[in-house]
Amino acid sequence: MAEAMAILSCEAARENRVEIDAELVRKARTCAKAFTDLYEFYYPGIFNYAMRTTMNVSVAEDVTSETFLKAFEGLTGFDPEKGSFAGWLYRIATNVMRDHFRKRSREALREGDELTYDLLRVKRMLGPRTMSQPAEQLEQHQRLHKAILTLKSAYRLAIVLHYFERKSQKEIAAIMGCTVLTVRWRLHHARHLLAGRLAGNLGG
Amino acid sequence: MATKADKIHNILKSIEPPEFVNPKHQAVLRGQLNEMVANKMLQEAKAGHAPAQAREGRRMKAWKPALAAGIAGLLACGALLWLKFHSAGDAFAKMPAFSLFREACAAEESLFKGEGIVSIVNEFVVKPISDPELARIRRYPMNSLAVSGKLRYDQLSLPAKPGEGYTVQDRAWYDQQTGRFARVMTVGGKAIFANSFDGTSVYLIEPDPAGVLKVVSKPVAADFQPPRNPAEFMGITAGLGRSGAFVEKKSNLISDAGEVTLPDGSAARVVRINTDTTGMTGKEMKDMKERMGDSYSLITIRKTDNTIAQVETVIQGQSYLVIRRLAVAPASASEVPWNLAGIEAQPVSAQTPSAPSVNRIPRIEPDDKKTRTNVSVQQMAEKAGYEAYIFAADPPWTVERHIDEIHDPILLPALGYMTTYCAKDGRHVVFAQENTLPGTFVQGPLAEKLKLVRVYASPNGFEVWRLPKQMGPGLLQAARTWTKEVPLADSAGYLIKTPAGTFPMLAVNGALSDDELHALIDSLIPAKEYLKKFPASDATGAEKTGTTSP
Repeated sequence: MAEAMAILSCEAARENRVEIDAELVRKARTCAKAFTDLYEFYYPGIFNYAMRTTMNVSVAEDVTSETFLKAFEGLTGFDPEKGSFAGWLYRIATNVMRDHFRKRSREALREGDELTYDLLRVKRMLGPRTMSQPAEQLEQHQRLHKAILTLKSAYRLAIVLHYFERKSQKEIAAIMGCTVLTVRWRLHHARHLLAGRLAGNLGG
Repeated sequence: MATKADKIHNILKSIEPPEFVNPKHQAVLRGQLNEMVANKMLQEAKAGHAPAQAREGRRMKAWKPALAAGIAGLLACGALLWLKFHSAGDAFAKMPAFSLFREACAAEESLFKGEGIVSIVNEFVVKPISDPELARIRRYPMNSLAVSGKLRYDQLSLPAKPGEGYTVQDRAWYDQQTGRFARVMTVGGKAIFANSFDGTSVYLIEPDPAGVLKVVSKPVAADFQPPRNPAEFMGITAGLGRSGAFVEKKSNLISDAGEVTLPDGSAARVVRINTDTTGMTGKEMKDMKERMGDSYSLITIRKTDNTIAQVETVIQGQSYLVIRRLAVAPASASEVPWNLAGIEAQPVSAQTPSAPSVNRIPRIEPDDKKTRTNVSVQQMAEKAGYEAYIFAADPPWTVERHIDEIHDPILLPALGYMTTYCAKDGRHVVFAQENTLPGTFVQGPLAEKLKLVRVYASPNGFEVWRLPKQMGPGLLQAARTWTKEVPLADSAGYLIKTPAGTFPMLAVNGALSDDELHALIDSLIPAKEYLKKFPASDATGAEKTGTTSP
């Protein structure tokens, strides 16, 4: 309700954020310390993205670390004219996760290893807002999330970016380095795969 | 299969993604990055002098390599020193706005960490504004120490007649060693609020049954601990909430608003904090912002010590309230009214609707969760502090009702109640009420800009206006915990003026016919009346199923 009663536009805040980022990136190029401000702001988002995609605390921590270290090293390669800093960071994180999935698929995995769902550790990481969700909703989410973890990385990333990170298809295309049509197809196909894997478990 | 895929889509859309926090890893990675930053700064410093260093090196290499290395080292050190001084001089000007604000909050907290007793003097300047409704509802959130020893939220109510203003003097003293404090707010030398702790008792001026302000005191319990962070209830950031948490949550709303010179000639930077509208989207909301004008806060921060010199609230582009720091100085124990002795309160005659006062929000403590779900009608009726309403009969197409109590001292100074009626066909109904802002949508200059269309005036004294298109979905969005659905873009939203003068909002997830709207409005009754009418019907609620969420 508080949100509904508030006055100013969220769009303005977002535009404001893009401006702040561009300024920080500019400063970070001449004064490395400015990067830590970007880090503080984006850490929660990137860690959450990694957690929602992998549901594995250790992997998510590695992905987040590697993302920020790569971003720090490659800051001079970021061009604000080509897109937002947030999008650029998500792209790095996505590539880091793809590398991770690729490496894992080359390794000899125990059956079901990819489904590592370290529930206890994951639960400990849940923020207060999620903890307050009704148990039934959390359970449904966990069921669905387990199914998402069985998808191939391209489908999994598309689903997470679209439904959990609330990215538009255009933004996903930029992050994943493909066309909007490809994103649409991946989302469509992923939903069908999930429906098949969750048959009988959807309730209602 | 297609329907199942659609179902997956709907479930995915309806689910709030889990949110994870990992402060431990964040700190570890921060450490790694800081190290990399330090190394890079060193490299940058070296690189900045590389050509000279290389030339020197080449020339000396043949005969004195050790000396060359020494000179190169000196050059690097010089560059580092230059960098250090250069950045120290420019740090203030270059610091991003949200970092600067964070520094300012830390500086404010540090005022209470020095040795001895600190005395702080601020003033609240209530600016004259022409809009009668905005002038009437002006308020500022603040905390006080209750005689129970717990912190609780108050509202500093600062009403004024249109075009008139006044100044509230705010004096505070704090003894870091003992935790003793006193805070006295006066208008024309008479107290409208006073609160203190003298080491053994807590003192507070409160109205007696006749409305006369009197000092009440209570000895503290043996396990009493004075509040850990005095900046939460004294000083210039006391109304901003817990400063650290505030800035972390709102950093995307903070921006730079330029540099100014203060009246004493010192330099300062201004940081702007926009109103939080998390969850609101769309072009229409942007248009609405343009029509309503800017509403934000301006924090003026001194260059010399990063302390806050002024907090200004701007509503619709007009300066609404200015809180100014007048002095911070050491004080002696003998000059502090630790037990509020000699404090003269405002006489009853001055306590008119347009006079400033401090209003208590009953039974709300800062420790309380922001949202309390499934409260009962009785709780709502008793705690609201205003006439709360409810439908005498649930909308016929709905199947269950949930009442949530919402408390956000920054956005919502009063307790808000959101009643959600869930429908099987998705046409959920949300009725939200509190006692502050939306009245300006239909009264005063803002209303002229918004031009809301009145769609109904009920025989029992309610008036109804249709809200701009995005407001209905906005309200329904807030009720997603219960509805579990993304609001439809064309959801209907209404603003209602009740006979008690409050302005609840109503939203329906879908279309609502005129007959349905009239029936709903005609069935609105005060919650207290509902309890008399249906004494046994309120068995559910917080007593039975209540849960809390932050």
